[in-house]
Amino acid sequence: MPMETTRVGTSLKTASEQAAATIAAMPAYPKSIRCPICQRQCLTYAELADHYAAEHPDSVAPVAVTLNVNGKACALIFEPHLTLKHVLQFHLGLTGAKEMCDRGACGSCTVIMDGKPTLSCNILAAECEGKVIQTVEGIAVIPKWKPLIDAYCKWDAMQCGYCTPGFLVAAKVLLDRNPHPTEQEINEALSGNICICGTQPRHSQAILEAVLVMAEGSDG
Amino acid sequence: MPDYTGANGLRENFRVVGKPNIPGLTSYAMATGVAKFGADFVVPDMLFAKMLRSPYAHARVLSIDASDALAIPGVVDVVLWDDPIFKEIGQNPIGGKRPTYLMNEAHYEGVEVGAVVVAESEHLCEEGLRALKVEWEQLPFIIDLKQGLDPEFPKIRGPEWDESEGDYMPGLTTVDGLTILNLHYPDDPRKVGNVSWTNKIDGDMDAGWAAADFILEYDVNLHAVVSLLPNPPASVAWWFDSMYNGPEKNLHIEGAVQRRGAIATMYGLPDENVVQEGLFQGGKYCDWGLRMSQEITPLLSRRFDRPVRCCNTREETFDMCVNERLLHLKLGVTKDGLITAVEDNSIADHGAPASSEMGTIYDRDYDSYYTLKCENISQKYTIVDSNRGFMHTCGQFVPYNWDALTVGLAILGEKLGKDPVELAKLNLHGPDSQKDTRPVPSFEACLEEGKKLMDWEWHPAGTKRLADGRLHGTAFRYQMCPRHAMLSYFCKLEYRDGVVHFPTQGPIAGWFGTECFTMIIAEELGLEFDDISVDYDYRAKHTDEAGGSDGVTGQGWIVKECANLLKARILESAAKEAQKTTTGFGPFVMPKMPSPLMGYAAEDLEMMDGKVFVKSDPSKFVPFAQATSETITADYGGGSPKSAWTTGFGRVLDTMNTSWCEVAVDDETGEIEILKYGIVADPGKVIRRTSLESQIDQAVFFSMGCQLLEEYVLDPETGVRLNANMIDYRKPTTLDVPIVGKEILELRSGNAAYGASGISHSLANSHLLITAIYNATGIWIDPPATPDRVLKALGKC
Amino acid sequence: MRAFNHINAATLDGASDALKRGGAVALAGGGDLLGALKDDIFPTYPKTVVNLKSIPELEYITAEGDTLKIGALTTLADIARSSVVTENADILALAAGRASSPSLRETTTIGGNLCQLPRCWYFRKLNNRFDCARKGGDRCFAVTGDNRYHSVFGGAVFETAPGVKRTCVAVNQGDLAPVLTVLGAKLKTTERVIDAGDFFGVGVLTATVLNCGEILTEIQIPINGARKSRYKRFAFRKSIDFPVINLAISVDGENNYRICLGGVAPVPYIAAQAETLLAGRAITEELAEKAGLAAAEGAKPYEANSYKVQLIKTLVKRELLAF
Repeated sequence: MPMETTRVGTSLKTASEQAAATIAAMPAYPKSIRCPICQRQCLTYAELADHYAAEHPDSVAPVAVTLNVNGKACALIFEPHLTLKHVLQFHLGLTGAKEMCDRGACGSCTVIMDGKPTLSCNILAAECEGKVIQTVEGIAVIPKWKPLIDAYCKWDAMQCGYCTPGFLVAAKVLLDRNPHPTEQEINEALSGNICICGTQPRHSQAILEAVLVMAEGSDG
Repeated sequence: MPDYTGANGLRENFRVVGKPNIPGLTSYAMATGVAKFGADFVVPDMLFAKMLRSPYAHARVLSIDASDALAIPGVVDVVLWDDPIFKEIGQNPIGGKRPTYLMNEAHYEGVEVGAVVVAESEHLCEEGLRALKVEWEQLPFIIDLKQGLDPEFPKIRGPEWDESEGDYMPGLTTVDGLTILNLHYPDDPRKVGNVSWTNKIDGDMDAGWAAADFILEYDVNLHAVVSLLPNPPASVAWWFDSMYNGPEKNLHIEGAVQRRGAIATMYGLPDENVVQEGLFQGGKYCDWGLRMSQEITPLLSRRFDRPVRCCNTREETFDMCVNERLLHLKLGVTKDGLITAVEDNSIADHGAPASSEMGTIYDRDYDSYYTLKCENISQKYTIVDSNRGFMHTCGQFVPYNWDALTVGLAILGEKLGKDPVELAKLNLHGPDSQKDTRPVPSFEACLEEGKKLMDWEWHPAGTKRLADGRLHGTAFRYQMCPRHAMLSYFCKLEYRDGVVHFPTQGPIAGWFGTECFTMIIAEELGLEFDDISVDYDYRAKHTDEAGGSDGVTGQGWIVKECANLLKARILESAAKEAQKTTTGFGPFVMPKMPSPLMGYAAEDLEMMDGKVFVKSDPSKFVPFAQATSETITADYGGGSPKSAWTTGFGRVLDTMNTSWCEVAVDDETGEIEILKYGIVADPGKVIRRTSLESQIDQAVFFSMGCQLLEEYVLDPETGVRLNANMIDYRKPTTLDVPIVGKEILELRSGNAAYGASGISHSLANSHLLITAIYNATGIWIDPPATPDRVLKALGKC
Repeated sequence: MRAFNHINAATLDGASDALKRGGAVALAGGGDLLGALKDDIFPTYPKTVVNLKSIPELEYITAEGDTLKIGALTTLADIARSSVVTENADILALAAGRASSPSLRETTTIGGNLCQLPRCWYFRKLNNRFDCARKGGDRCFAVTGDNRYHSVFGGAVFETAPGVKRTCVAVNQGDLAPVLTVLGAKLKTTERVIDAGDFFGVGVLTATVLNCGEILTEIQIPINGARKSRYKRFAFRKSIDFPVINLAISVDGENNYRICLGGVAPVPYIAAQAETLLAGRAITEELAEKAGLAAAEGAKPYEANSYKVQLIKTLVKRELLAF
């Protein structure tokens, strides 16, 4: 089976291009509607619902939901118990929201919903219709946030990198609300994020530098 | 002492090495979420697999009736332990002693056992698991080490797991298809019940006790903590056909740990038939254990002819622990504080079968006692099998029994009314051997800087209260900055079309090794960091060896040698091409502009700042990118110079570090606050500063976690894990971790590139904070010093 | 997480009806329920999840006359940020702003916080590993097991089935429960208005006295300009953790104290003896100390949780002195 080659961007340019490509690849509507139980292909959602009624009467039928993610409306069909985290990864191909604790206790799956930091493992995707959702990929393609990402990379505010997008999203919301935070305010804002590599003290250093760069940029 | 015999070991001027704030090569991918870890891979037409987990601490599956599970729409199959499929794979060489096949006996609660459910989605796997009718036979279990010591207690392991049934032959033996590394000595006592022993005695214990004026006895207890990985271990695998290898002989797997070679070995394939493109391994804290979820997907994929994904949940990832250790120490000491004899009687948790021996037997050699002038050292280890989990070392948590000595010096200080820093100075031997009485320069420097950093002032235990009424305590410890040199390393470089290529397969696990190597290459070739093209490619031979900064420095030596080989070849080729007066061939020969290097031999040339120039007249140069039209390669492999850490385990001392802290103890609530935490480390030479700082932050994070918060809790009645989630198992948050004052020294006495050593997890400790709490309160509190335990120890409840 | 049917309730009546049909659970911010579903802790997995967030007009904060009114779906973050709450019930804003973690506070609701199930690790162990009394089983595993976080004021005795009495020693660890109790809040439901002090209860799979299908809709807090109050949260970590103990104290213009502790008993514990001792008196060091002792009076801790008794004494004393 062929697979898209995994290339790694070693600059912000390539990484944000990759993020942009990921966003562009998010399907605006399901390319093929397959029954999640038997893989039977259906042409419409109505056909799938009929198929469930006939073939899987005891199973919970998928729902049709449109999610607004990173500025794009995506019509999706998925089972109602799935979390937003799951749907972002398995239906939209977004890997920036990471699953670490799966219980709302680590912040790795943080996304922004209607301007608020939201733990995507702790909310059902079916309940996110009509919300404006932004993931780390959506932040990565906005030039305004270049200084934040740069500072994270310059100060090694990551080691293995798994929890990092969650921290970055939390930091972005903080700066949206408070463009000039103190070190204490930064640590408060990130206190729901756990980095098991122990980079905790490094984030405030990176964010404080980003704040400076962003302030200079806005003056000029 | 440092071995500078390679190229440029003595280099004085550094342009790239040591430069701060060079971003990690893959950091942008990680920060923006485009980096894919094992759990992130989603491929079309994928099946999902989940394994049955034992609800009991020790039990055998007698039978499984899967009919209800198989009747669930979307459940594809249930594969049972006795399925021949599990005989199709071999042992994973980096999985250690853990079996790769599914068993029907569970040795701890939560372990994979008996069955794998394969279904169209993860939740259908869950439905299938809940529908299995499993007949269990519950078996006796040990979760209390003291109970395990009872020779009458039933044996909890079958003879197939008992390395001690046969002769104690150190080295590799094969038992039931598993390769086992036996670290016992031939004359160690034979196993009785669930207990085995290993004894090691150096020097003359009788003489040691005779020379002592008094004997100091104390206990150092290390509780079990969990080696938690950030990313849930997961893999997805599928087989594919190729015109070279034929059908179904090629495996694509993502999410298997480290190199594809390990999985290739397991599945009996040549390395080149295995594709693993994903670079990102997630956190690795010296815990190179693999989960079955990462190993068996190819097996299932082969059976069902579809890609299969298997992912651990967080609860299922609470399965590798750092073992509980109960150390009883006896020191013979003169009235001046000189230690004359050390006796360590330890009880250690051996965990479930196939646990690592890094936290048990291996500690005989890997400890702090050999840094003492005292050569009379007795170590008697009692090792108890248990059902507490799979015990696997994690260096970031508990660096073996090192802190037995930290604690000893502190208790001795209280008894003699002396600053433990002075006692450490008195007892530490010199650079070359335990008989060497000279001071160790790196240690002295780290002490002096540390005292300044902390405004160090020791006071006797329980004698200082802060203005707010809390008790104040201090503590100090030292360790060697380690460097491993057991491994053989490899590096290949290529100069092609004017650019130096450095191919590497990674992987990325957090220590920025490739960045360090790239800095070294740039340094040696007179280039900038960005001039080197790092080509990440899973097929490359070079890999970032494990071992954090100490592995990096060892491998860095090889990279440095390789870069110099490349340099010599480029200069040779440049000199040769410079002599040419024509370009082209046959009828197309054209006259060529004379090279500025014409007339010079390779030895007359040098490279710097992106130029190849004539040493005697630097105004004559060509750009590095045009040095030669040839493609030049260099590869270099082998070991780096012997390191003091590996050869002496403390008997030889080169690069050292010191850690210091001050705490406040609220004796009415049991709360501990870290007022100040300082670290002075001499890694020999700084290669990449942020890497070092980051490793220090990591060590402190793990150390504070295991001393103040983290604890692996089992239900005493059932042996069931009670806090196997990230709510109840407490990793420190941004509001809990202290800011660490850091001083990094460069005495260049290490034995890798430029006199570097490493830091790695040498700054991780199990008892620095505990020792400071002792200095504050005068009362010993075993970790974790959570408020409940502090109040209990203080007699407040 | 295993599958379930999902209903977006349009009205309170609709939600109540759905919940009364059986096999259904109510979902607000998800902070409590989703974890329980993922851990599959229920003896019978719910067939249906009823989303309450789709019901309009349950998310608001208003001060009307002498009452502060908060809709049950208002998030903890909105309460913490609200100047109306800070002006009229500062410890509620404080407690809401300290609960769980910053991101979780943005989605979890005050109603969900008040109705959350116990955090007992036997109750919460996955796949219903311990079929305990609180789930209708026969015994409380914490009584003989690891009870370091459990009640120091004994267990709650309740009926698991008609005529079958069992005990549970799990504690109520909600951040807001003690606060609303000392503020004299009234909790309005689809059926009635309940005093906060009477709202919490112990039953099979419930931590409130709500009937099946009864839904909390509004929190009403009397506004009293002369009232002063304090809130203290004691947890092992400074974020993410549930409180091990929390404490709310309020005092009116006549030195009438209300003291309520969370994390020490199956329901929020009103320190009545301490309240009586303090009534009408001005705080002195000695009185505060005595009040601390009085608050802990009658405690019967296990060996593993006796530290909580010391914490009650210290925290009550310190918070009184901090007024």
